[in-house]
Amino acid sequence: MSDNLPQEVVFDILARLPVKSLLQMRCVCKSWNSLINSPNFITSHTNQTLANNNNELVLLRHHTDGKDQFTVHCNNNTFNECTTFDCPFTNWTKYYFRVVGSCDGLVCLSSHDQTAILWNPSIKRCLNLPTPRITYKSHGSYTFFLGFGFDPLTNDFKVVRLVYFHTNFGYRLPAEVDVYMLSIGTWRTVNTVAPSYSLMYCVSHAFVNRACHWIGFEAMTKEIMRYLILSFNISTEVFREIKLPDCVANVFRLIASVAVYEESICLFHYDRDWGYPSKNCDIWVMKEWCGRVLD
Amino acid sequence: MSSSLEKNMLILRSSDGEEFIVPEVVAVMSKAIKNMVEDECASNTIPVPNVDANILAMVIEFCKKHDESEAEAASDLKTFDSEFVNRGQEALYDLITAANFRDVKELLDALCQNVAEMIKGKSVHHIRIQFLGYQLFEILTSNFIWNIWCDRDFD
Repeated sequence: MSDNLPQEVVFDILARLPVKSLLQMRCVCKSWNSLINSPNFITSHTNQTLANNNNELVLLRHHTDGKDQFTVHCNNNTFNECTTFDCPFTNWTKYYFRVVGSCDGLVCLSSHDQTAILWNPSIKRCLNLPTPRITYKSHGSYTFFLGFGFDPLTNDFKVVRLVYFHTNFGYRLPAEVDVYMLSIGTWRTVNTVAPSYSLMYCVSHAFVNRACHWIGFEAMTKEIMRYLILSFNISTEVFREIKLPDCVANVFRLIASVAVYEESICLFHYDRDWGYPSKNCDIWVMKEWCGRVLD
Repeated sequence: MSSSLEKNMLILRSSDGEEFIVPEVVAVMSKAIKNMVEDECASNTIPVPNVDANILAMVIEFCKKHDESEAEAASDLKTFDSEFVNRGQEALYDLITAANFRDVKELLDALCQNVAEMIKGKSVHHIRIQFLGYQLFEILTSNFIWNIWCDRDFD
């Protein structure tokens, strides 16, 4: 039947299948295999899946019994578990992996020893990113931050790496910026100069509107900080700053994280309870884009 | 030149010569026929080559239902679609060819979805024999490497 069907109809039929079936159907014949592996088909299948998928999912990482585990849950009142993924690369590093971000079914993971991995859990394949330009060996001590997202302009996944060298009193500003493009497979230094803000350590990163967002700050005096959200657009490779409300921006030692809420950026602000985050949390959602381009 | 017959009816002639009188609104659900009507190159009867009377009747039935039931609940239409496409493989193949060639989007959508449902959960061997008409001999020779592949567990 399929031999006689026009190629575009076979394409249309296969694009409606779930990933698991597609993996098996690659073995049916050579023409199906090359069709399913073609970038054109993958893009079309991803778009179709995203368009038809109306139940949102949440990815959780556990660390139980010395083993990293990932579970996917439905984002509704039941919070039922849909799938479990075992971490396929536990032996790769002695540190645990933290989730940098996820985008269109790909997950970016990073460990403290500079290993960064792109992982596609549904086809069980992962890619170890090449060694970046700046390493502890070559440049000494520094702190790095990662961002991960999909650039629809170039139809490519990108990983951003901001490196802050350590000085006697803190970070050396501005940060060094490198970008990894999945289609090219190498790191590239970005020419735009990063703004002179430090980033809050160990905070999550949020990808929305083609831009990675982190919480940044500048030291007004030795004790007083001004906090803001720093964004990096992965299409245009331009930094922007988003001002925070005064009651958050001028807090003494802010405890907060950024996240995505209904296609816009939001901020979780925790009260301080003897230096630790309390159970109370304010959530700020940005209504209108009011970012300022930084030169 | 009467691109639209009295009362906006068109005559479609199947490959085996049978003629169907169809309202224009129904006929133009086929993009190919719509283009012909818009370009005013549709004379009294529009030949529909490659599609025999049996299949053409089915396509017209589908289009009529979709035209009538625009106001109806979408779930009713879905039930009709799934019952409509629930046919033997030969009829399915002919319908897909007709829908693709005549560019009837709704019908092609329903048919492709149906075939996708049929493929879901079937084994690779099943697909080869049922859909591709492979003979056992061919599978054993040309696809030997692929057979090793499909024994792998993808769960």
